[in-house]
Amino acid sequence: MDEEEQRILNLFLNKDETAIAEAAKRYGAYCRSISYNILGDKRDAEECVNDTWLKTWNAIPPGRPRRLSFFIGRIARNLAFDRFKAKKTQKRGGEAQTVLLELDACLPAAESVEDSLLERELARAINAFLRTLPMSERHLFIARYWHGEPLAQIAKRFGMRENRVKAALFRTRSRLKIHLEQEENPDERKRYNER
Amino acid sequence: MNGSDTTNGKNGISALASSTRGDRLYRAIGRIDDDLLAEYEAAGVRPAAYRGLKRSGALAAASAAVLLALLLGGRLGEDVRETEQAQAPIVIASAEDASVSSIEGSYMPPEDGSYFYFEAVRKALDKHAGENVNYFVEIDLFADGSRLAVSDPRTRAEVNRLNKLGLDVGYSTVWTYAGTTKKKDYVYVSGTFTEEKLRNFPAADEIGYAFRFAADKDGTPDENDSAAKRIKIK
Repeated sequence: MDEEEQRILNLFLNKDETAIAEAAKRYGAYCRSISYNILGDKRDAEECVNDTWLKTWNAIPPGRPRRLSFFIGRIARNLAFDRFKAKKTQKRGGEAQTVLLELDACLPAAESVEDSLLERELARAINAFLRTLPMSERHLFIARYWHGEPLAQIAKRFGMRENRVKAALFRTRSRLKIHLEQEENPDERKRYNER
Repeated sequence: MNGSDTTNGKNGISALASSTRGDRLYRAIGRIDDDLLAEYEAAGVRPAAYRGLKRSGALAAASAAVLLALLLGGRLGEDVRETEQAQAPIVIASAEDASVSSIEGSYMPPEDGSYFYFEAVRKALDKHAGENVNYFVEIDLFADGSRLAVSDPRTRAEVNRLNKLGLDVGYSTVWTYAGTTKKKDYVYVSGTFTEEKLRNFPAADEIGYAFRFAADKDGTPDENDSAAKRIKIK
């Protein structure tokens, strides 16, 4: 965390009235881009960002994040996703609908898996999986599935053709699915590794 | 600390039971570790700004202040009056931190539609955040990953566009070496910006930008601070 980020975090921790204004100034564009990627609607995104500051104000303290920017980004992401789900309007959705469809096939369909892999466990498994990936593939995954960036934008930023981005993400999702199946069934993982 | 711990009321078994697989995975991905996110951010050029969504920093701050005032029954009026007491801004045109050179090495060109700050500029922005300060900077322009010469028509067009947006942008000079001993003028695109204008720069879709403090070849800062010392290019 850089000095400025620490300074803003301290404002929140000390319940200093300027905390929200300072956070809005520094992280406003960041949160708007996250929210807009999910919602695809400027007004909804803006409302999410406004909610983000209040959520942050209420969450710190007791929360004491190691990285304020990611903490705030997660709040914006969660709020935008909740709003997206509440609206259930595919026409107004941004990238979220497509991203969800892509992710849907990654989790094994078996009920046992759904029941047993709680979200925290799932997050742990995803983090472990990401650490096995080459950096470039990890970054593509984060761009698409954390930030919700459109494929064309990712292709442009990474200097790749869009179909190559698609193919790389497809491969990563396939590997993620195998990884999650193995997480669910360690015996299966053992058998797989022994092959 | 994970933001979703405290903000997402749909965490846990009930949420899992009611959501699709994609939903659950999406929420879990929201918990990607900070170090992986930091690695991602450190590796890339900042994403293109979402121009349609941009608001000025001042507006965003004012909006947030209203929110907080509503929350706290605050004292917004006093703060606004304080900021209205305008004084001539200090102009920062060079690195203030001696450890940060005005001359900086190679860097990845920014993507079209995006921009970044050299370390000295970024540090100055952070140090003087919220202060009544202007920044005099050199602007490197890029298109398709290649730096645009000052003489390039796209450079001229971009300077004109920025001028029409009311930004104080033009051309200035520093000296550089011609051979081993002779000096010659080097023309560059320059601009004087408030913090808000610099942080919310109205990037064109087809141009990338890098902001740095201008310096002569020997590292002497260019202290031109306004259009008054700018040169005219025909």
